[in-house]
Amino acid sequence: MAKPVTDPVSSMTSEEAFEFVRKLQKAFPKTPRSKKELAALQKYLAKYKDAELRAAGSRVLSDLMQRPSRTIKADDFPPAPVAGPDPNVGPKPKARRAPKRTTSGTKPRGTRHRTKRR
Amino acid sequence: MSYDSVRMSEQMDALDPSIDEFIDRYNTITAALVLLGLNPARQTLFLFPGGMASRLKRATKAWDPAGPASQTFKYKELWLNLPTLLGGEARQLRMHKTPGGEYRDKGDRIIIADRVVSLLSVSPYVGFTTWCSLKGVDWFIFPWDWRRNVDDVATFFVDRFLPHFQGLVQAKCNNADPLADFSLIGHSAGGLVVNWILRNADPLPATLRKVITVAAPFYGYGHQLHRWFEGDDLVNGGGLFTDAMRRMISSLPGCYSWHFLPEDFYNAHQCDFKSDLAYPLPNYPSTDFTGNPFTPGNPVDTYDPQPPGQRYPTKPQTGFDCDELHKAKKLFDALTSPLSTAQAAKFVNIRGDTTANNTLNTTSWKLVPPISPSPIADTSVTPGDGTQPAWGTRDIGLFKQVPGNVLIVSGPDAAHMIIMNSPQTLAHVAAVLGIP
Repeated sequence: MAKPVTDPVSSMTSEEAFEFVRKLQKAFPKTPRSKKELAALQKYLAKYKDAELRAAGSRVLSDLMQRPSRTIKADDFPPAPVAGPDPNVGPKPKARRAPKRTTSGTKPRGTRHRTKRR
Repeated sequence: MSYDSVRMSEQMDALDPSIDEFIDRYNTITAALVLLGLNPARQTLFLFPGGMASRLKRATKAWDPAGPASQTFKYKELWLNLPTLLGGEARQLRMHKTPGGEYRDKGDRIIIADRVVSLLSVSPYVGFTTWCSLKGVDWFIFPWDWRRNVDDVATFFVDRFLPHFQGLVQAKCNNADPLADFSLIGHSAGGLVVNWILRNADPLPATLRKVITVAAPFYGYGHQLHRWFEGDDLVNGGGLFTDAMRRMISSLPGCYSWHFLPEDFYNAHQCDFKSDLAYPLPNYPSTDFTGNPFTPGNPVDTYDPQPPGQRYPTKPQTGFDCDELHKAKKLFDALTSPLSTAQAAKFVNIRGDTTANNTLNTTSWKLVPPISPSPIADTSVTPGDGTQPAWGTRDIGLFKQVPGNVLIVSGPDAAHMIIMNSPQTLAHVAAVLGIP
C-alpha cells in the first residue's frame, strides 16, 4: 500500500492529536495551577519525544483554528452538485419562505442523517 | 474609568513591548543599511493573526468599579497553553453583556491580547516574520481579541493604536515615520479586520499601500454552525464541559459573524458565485434537512433561519443571542459593501487550495429542539485550504473590479494554518508590495 503523502501541517492526524489531548485530559481532570500540578504536567509530557509534542501542537493548533478535529476526505461525501436550481437573481422575498413546520413532520430519528464522525 | 476604558488602556500597555521590539528591529536594519551604504525605501507591514491565533491573557483579579481610575493588573495566559485544554479551563473565555450593551470578561477579569499563540513550541507565523526580516520589511504583529467584533478591534487599531505606535517609533527612530508607507495583511479572521479598515477608514490613509487578506472567510464556513451546538471537541473534555463550552462560545460576539453568508446576499450575487470558474458555489450552502440533504434543498438562512425559534438554541439553553446575530448581519453588510475604485486598487485577496478537496462545504440543518445531538450535518466537501472553502475567501466586488488582485495559493502548503508561511504566499506578497 502506498504511503500517504506527508502532511506539511503535522505528521499527526487529527484523530491522533485528539487522542493525545483526551489522554492528557484524563490524566489531568482538573486544570493544573499550582507549581506541583504544573510540574506533574511537565513530567507527563516528558514521556513524549519533542517531535511528537511538536506534531501534536501543530495539529491541535490547526484544528482549534476553526476546523473540525477529524480528517476530512473527499470520499466522505458524494460529489457536490455542479448545477443549482434556476437562477433567481435578487433577494428572496420573505413571503416565499416555507410555511412554519413542526418537529412532528420530521422523519423518525433512526432515518435522520447524522454528522459523520470518525 | 469604565471597564472598557481600563481594558483598552491595559491592552495598549500590553502592546508596548512589541512596539519596543519593532523599534529595535527598525534601528538594527537602519544601522545595517548605513554600513552597507544603502538607503532603500522602508515599508511597514502589520499582520493581523487569524481568529483564535492571538494569545489572550486574563487578569488575576477583577476590575473594581469603585477603584481608582488607573487600575493595573497582572495577567496569566489563558489562550492558549496546555492547561487551557484541561479541566474546562476554556470556560474562562466567556463574556457577559451589561444592560448598557458593554461586553465584559467573565468575573470582570480583564482579558487582553498579547502576541501570538504558541502550543508545545509551535507558533503559526514564524516563517512569515522571518521572511519579512530577511527582506528588510518592518513588520509588526497586531494581536487582537478574536472574541470581540472585528469593528471594535479595527476601530481600536485605527483610532488608538496607530497614533500611539507612530509616536513611539518616531520618538525612538530618529523621527522616522513608520506610517509613511504601510500595508495591512490579515490571515483568516484577521482578514475581516483589515477588510473592515479598508472599507470604513475615512479618509483612507494615502500612505496605506495595500490591504491583503489571506484565507479570509468573507462568506463564512460551516464549522461555526456546529459550534453553537457541539462546543469544540478539543476543549469539551470528553463531553464533561460541552454545555459550558457552548455557553462560552455563544457569549462571544465575534463568533456570530463567522458562519455562512446571508441568503439574500447569495441570491443577489449567485451569478458571481456560480461563475467563479475555479471555485463555484452553485447553491446556498446551508440547507434544510427535510428532503434530500445531498442535493440542493430549501435554503436555511444562517442569519434569519426559518421557521423562527426552531433552528438555533434558545438563550436559556446556551445563551445564544439573537441580537448578536442581527448585529452580525449588519457587520456582514459593512464588510461586503461596494468597493470604491481607490479601495479596490489597494485590496488583494489570497485564497488557498490544498488540491486535496478536503474542505467541508455545505451543511444541512434539522429543526430544534432537541439541540443535542447536533442538528447540523456536513453534506459535501469542496476545494479550499482545509478550513475555508475557496469560494468564500475572495471578495466578489474585488474580483469584478480588479480580478488580477485575487490570487491563489495551491498545494499542500496552502493548508489554513500554514498558508502564511507558504513560499507561494510570500511570493505573492512580495509581488504585491514590490519587495525584491
